[in-house]
Amino acid sequence: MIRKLKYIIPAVILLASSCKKSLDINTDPYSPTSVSENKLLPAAQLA
Amino acid sequence: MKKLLQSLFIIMFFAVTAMAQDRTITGTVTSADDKQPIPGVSVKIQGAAGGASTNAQGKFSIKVGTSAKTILFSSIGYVEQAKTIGTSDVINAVLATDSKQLNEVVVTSFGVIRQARSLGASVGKVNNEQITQVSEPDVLKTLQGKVAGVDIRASQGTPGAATRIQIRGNTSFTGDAQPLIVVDRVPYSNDQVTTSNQLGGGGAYGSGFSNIDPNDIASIQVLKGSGAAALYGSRASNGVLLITTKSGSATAGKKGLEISLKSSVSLEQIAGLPELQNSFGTGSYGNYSASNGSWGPKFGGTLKEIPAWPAYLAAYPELFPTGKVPYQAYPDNVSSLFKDGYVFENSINLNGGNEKSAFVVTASQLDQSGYVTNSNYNRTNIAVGGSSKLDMGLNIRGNLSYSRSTQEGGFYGETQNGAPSLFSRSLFLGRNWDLSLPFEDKNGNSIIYAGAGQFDNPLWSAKYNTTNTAEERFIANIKADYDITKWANFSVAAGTNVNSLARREVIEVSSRAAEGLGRLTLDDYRKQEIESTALLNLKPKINDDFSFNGLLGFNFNQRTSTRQVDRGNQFIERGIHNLNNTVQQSFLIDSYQRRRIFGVFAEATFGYKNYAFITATGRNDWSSTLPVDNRSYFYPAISGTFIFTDAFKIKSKVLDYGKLRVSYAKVGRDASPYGVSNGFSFNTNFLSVPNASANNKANDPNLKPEFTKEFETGTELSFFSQRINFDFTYYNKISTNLIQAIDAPASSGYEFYNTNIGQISNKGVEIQLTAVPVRTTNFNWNLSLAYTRNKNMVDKLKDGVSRIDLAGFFASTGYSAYAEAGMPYGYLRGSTSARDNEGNLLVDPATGALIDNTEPSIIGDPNPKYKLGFTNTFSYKGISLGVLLDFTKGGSVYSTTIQNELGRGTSKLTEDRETTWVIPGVYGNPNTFQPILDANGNKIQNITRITTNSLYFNGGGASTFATNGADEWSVYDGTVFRLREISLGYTLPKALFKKTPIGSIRVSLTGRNLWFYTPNIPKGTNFDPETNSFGATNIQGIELSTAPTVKRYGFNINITF
Repeated sequence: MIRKLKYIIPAVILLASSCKKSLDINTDPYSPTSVSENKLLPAAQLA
Repeated sequence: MKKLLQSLFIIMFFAVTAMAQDRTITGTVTSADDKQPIPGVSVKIQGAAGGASTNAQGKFSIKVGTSAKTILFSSIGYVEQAKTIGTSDVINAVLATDSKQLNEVVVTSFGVIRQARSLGASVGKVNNEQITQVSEPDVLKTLQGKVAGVDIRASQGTPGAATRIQIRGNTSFTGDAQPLIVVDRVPYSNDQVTTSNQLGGGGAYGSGFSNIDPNDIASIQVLKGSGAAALYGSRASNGVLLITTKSGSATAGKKGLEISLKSSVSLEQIAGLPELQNSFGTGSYGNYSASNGSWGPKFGGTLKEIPAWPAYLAAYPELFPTGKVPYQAYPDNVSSLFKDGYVFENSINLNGGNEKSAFVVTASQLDQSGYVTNSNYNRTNIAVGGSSKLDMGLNIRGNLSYSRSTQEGGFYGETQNGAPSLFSRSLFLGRNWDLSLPFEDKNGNSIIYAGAGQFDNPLWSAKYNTTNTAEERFIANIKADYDITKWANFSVAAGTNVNSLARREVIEVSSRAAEGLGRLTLDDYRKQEIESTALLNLKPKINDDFSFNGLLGFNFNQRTSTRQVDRGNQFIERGIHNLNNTVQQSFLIDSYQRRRIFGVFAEATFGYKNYAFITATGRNDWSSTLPVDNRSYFYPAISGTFIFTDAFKIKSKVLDYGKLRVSYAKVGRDASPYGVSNGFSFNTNFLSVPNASANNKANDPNLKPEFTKEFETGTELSFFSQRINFDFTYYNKISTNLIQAIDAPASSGYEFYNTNIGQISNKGVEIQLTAVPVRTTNFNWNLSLAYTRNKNMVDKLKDGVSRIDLAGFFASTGYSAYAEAGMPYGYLRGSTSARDNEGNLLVDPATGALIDNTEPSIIGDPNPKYKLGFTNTFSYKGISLGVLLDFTKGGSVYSTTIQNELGRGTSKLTEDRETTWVIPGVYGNPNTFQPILDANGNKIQNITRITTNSLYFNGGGASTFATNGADEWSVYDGTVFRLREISLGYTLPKALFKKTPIGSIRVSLTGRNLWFYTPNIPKGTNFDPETNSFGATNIQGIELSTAPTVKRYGFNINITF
């Protein structure tokens, strides 16, 4: 049993260690968090 | 595809006829207790396919091959028995009664099999026969009335329309409140893709679950509470529907090939047409006009002819040489709009293998045509599954399924909201409208009987205004497991569910909608879900008294969706429906979403003497949709069960099993993607200048996960040798930190703010009762009762938020569904008539009509008080009769269909035009909303008489009880009794096909929704409160000229080889 677990446990650790980076995806690729002022000005003038 | 299926049928038929059997063994199976024969016992040859069952006299006959060694006898409530096959051709068996549920197992989270007696939370189960024998292509609808705690609601009666499922109430404001659906280890979304707002049109959109082939389902288990479902993580707070398909459950050990074929044909019709008056034509107050309301003069009076309707006269002057048409009733003009629909379904299932490998193939084809012209639903499903035990000890199983469906239909909704609806007048046509006349002019434009542009001719709308959807879904998954030791098993499973939907909505030129210029909307949606799980399952043997089951697991889930909705307005060339043929195009939606969750979990079950169990579980999730500091969240659960009949050694002839169970669970749920930071979006170029602006919604950077805490307790009791089984559950569920966008102050620069804002609670009782009142040699009567009561309440909202508009429409009157602290979720709020402090209606003395309040208030609660399903099954020899009645108590519904049937004077209820009416109430001041007092300071009873016309449609806009009336008068109590299902089946005697490879043939006649009774809905409207405009969404109790439900008569034949 112990002998077999030595393969399983590293695999789980490896999987878990890759998790953190994989979670940094919460930014909408179609909605930038900043845009240049020359893009904002026409919309502001219209409003 | 159809040809492929036909070929498969033929090939398989000849294949099985080639199979040979050597001899026949007969015998009788009796009970060890009372020595009586036992009917329905399953008799199988170990390791071989097929089998037989005992007849009413307990006798059986089975063919066996030369290699057959052992014959197995099994029946619910008895201990399975194996007998060696010797030289004798007669084998009798005596079965001992099984101690209740001693060996019964259930599938729990991640497919882990557990003893039913060790479970601390309620689990419901439905088998394949309950799904496939009811002439219902939608699997969810087949669950109606069968499982306590489960609320299934249909939406519209046209083919492929969405069905909503909810378990133990609503736990979210606008998020998904439906349970997690897991098909063979892979989550399966029941999303409804809504292209056009169903308030102002929109189709009878389907939901994802309609892609499932009922013929491939082996069983459905319902993990109702958080206690049973907690391991599934974020989406388990709504319960879990755990579906095992035949293709996903291929089990090694069978030998040979087993084939089953199923064909069914059903006729479907509109379930309820309104009773119409045929005494008065269009007009108002007894005077004729080419209007919508049938408040004109009486037929057969002095008015013999009327001017031909202007649109018709202009389009077809040759049809009206005198320019006049007879003024007469067309009693069948409503019913003539609808036709008989049908459902054809064919399915083949192949199941075979040997001791080490097995495979299952299921292929099905469904063709459905609805009662509305051009409403169709077709579905093709193919599923393949297999399993194999490798010599090295590894077990591998996997399955792959593909479905393709197409839904064709029209638009629905209320015309007042600008809908291109084919039901805008269909159920309340002017009584003198001749629907046999053309519905389009010579240029193909809609022509109608009232003023131009008021509505679309329903026949024209059915032909030209179309919403067509094609959907494809692939599901694939594979699982490998390995016994590390005798008590430890490690498994890895991975799967994907890919769904793509393409929809084209066309509003043709001359429609009331889209300014009559035509509109094309294209919606492309794609969703991929990936799920993988690693499990270490530990079952070490401790000693005879103590047992332990352990589970350690890792779970990964990723959901990715993309959606593009493009619209073109104003067709350049009529009849060409692509974007290039439109004058103006716009991109309505172009979105991409991806979310991930990682979870680790553990479960430990300790048992004592097989009568006491304690289970503790814990799961920690890491979600991509939450802020970094809050993305990790832990939630525990604990449950206990105690089988007191075993613990106290109760040996009673009355009570033979008693179990108590209790559980407490907490389940976390993450947010929607991209809800924690603010962004910008690009707008359409202005004067060729690109520009961008901030999104209108600000997000809370400290968003926290939602949590649901649930306490559950219950008991399972069995009496008289399992003749009566009783399962009672009480639960109390509180969902906190609920996430919702609320209105933001204008000074913030945003319209909305997305944050944690509130709490919802659900408390309820579930009772599941099964009984066998009569069991004789030839005759059996089984009954089952499922009772569901859930009380939902929004407990609190964030300070400063009085209520949330869930539907966002009718803003001018405030009529909508809302969430508000102290009120049930989704309660209806709208305009009401004014009353005095004693509750008397205030009547305007000038008109005799009602005085309406200026502010909206509560007008209804769409949540039913309770639901009851009652199934009776009678069997006599090979004949069986099953009847499912269900009852829903309460649940308000706002209906514009009823409002219009009354307001437009078409209902039979409006036929009495001779009587005048006095609204019960007192005179009031329409300015002060106070009662008018006489000289003595007393209120003055209303004595002003009004006509029937004014009672339902008051000229001048005064408020009465239907058109132009306050919203509250269009809200009805949805209490309904229903004959949900009836089936009469007959299993043909085996003697008829003794010398053939046929194993069994069963034929059945089925009926569905054949009758319903609504005591609190106006008689004669025949309105079914089960209809709902918003499909599988959280908004319930709102009906805006929807397509009524259907009733269905079916014939099924099942053949096994």
